[in-house]
Amino acid sequence: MSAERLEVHPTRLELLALKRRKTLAEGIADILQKDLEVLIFSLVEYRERATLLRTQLYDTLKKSYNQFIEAEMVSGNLKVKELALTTTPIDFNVETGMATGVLGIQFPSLKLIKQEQKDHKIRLSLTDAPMQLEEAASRINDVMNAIVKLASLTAAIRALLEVISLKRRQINRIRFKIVPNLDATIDYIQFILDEIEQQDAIRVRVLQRKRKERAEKSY
Amino acid sequence: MPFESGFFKENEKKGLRNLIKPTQYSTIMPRVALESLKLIDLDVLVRLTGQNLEGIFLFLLNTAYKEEIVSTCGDKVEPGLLEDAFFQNYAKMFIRLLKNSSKYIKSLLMSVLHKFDALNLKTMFRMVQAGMNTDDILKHIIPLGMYDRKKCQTLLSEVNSISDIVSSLREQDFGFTLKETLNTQKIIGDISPLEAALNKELFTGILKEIKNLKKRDKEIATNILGIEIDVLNVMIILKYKALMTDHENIKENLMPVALIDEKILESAIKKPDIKSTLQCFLRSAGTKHHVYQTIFAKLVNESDSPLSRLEFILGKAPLEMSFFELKKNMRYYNIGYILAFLNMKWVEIKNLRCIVNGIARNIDKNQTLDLLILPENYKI
Repeated sequence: MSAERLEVHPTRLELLALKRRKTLAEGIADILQKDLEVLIFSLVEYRERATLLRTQLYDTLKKSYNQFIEAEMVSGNLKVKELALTTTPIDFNVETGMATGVLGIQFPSLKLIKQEQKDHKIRLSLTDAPMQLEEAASRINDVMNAIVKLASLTAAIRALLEVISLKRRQINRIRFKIVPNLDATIDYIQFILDEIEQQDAIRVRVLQRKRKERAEKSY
Repeated sequence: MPFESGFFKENEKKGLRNLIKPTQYSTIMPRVALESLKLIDLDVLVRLTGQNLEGIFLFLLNTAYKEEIVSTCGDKVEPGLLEDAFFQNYAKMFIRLLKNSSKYIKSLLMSVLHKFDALNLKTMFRMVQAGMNTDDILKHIIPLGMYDRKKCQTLLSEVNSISDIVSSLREQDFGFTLKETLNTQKIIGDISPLEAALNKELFTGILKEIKNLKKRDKEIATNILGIEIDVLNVMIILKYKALMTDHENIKENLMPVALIDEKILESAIKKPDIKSTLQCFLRSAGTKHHVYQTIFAKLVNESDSPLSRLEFILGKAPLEMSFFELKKNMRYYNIGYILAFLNMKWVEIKNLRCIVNGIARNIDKNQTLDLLILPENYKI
């Protein structure tokens, strides 16, 4: 990336201001870098939690589907279909909200809201439903909490990734755009100031020489 | 297997009629019919678990199921069609037994046949409640009993709701009970009270017919059919214990009692957990029958297992009782012979269905073997 020089007057005052800006930019970049490290650390933590939860979820779902197949084997797929058609559906809803996470970042949070059964009724036929079907349904019911928790974690991971990406862009902009530009401008001003100083020195020497020559002539 | 040997042959029927008294003839005829109905050898059945659907299809074409499989499946090998063919075969076998049975046995078998009427009625209730169309409902109907597909089609063409179905039933065909239940129903749309009423009516009918039998026949029928009712009651109590917090309405859902009486059921309901419930049954069943004792002892040993495992053990009970009665009364009393055969045939169909569905779902052979209902002493 080629550094661009800023449009500034090549004065010592500007040079000092630019140096202050550079120090500030580097300070900000350091803070952002630390934030990034914290965010990456919590991303890894969230990811581990999500992986663990996903493994548990797949395991439970696998067991549940296995029991469902066993129910079909024991009672026939037509009977299972028939029983499933008249099952009382589980009444649930997902409440969405915001939660404050690491570095005060707002994460979407999901919460499962289940309607409590008033009469504690068995959902499937008491005499005709194979127990495997009841167990499979019960596992799926329990899995709902884990699914919502995983969805919440996934949303948090996505939010974290967005913030990490933003922070990284900010750091990169400071390190590879702003600081090099400031450096280039500082160098330029420094160069101009050096040139001016050098010219002034020559001019002083010329003037001193001329003054000396004039003084010698007058004697 | 006792049913595999050719004890009597079909062509001997006419000769028998002239040789023996009418009462003896009516006693011996169901057994003659059974001799020609063959069950699949257990070893062969177990070996089917390792095959593919085509292999099973070809095997079944050389068994008693051939006719139904050819007419139902054609050249399509689908688990649903095979299951339907199995039921058709069971229906054919049942009708053949009914034709050859004497008055009291016929009445008992008719009451047992109501099991399928109850199943088909429950299917109709469920499917109508789910808003399914007639064609879909008919696929779920078992082609046996008075509510066969033809009757169901006629019934469903005239009705739109469960109450319509109930009002179209005759008083003697569960109609009275169902109407009473529907009138006293508290929650609209809840079909579980109707299901419970149907089951109670069914088992009351069976127990009533058993009472009409005499001496040993009565004892055998009580044992073989009674264990089925007892198993259902035990399972209902276990399901309540495992799934419900409120145990108040268990009694409403219990079936009429057979060998395990109301006192035992009541004390079992009061027990706090599944293990103590099963121990309660073991203590009471122990004095009654060897099969009950064995089953409950096994259940107590495995009381920490999932409920599906306990249900599986309980599901074996009618088969074990059938074998017990066959061993005890094989030669002299045909009622046990018929009821045992019906149980064994039903178990064979359930096992075939299990194998077919397992293969269709790519289930491991060992898992399928675990779900097969096999005699307790059978070694794989």
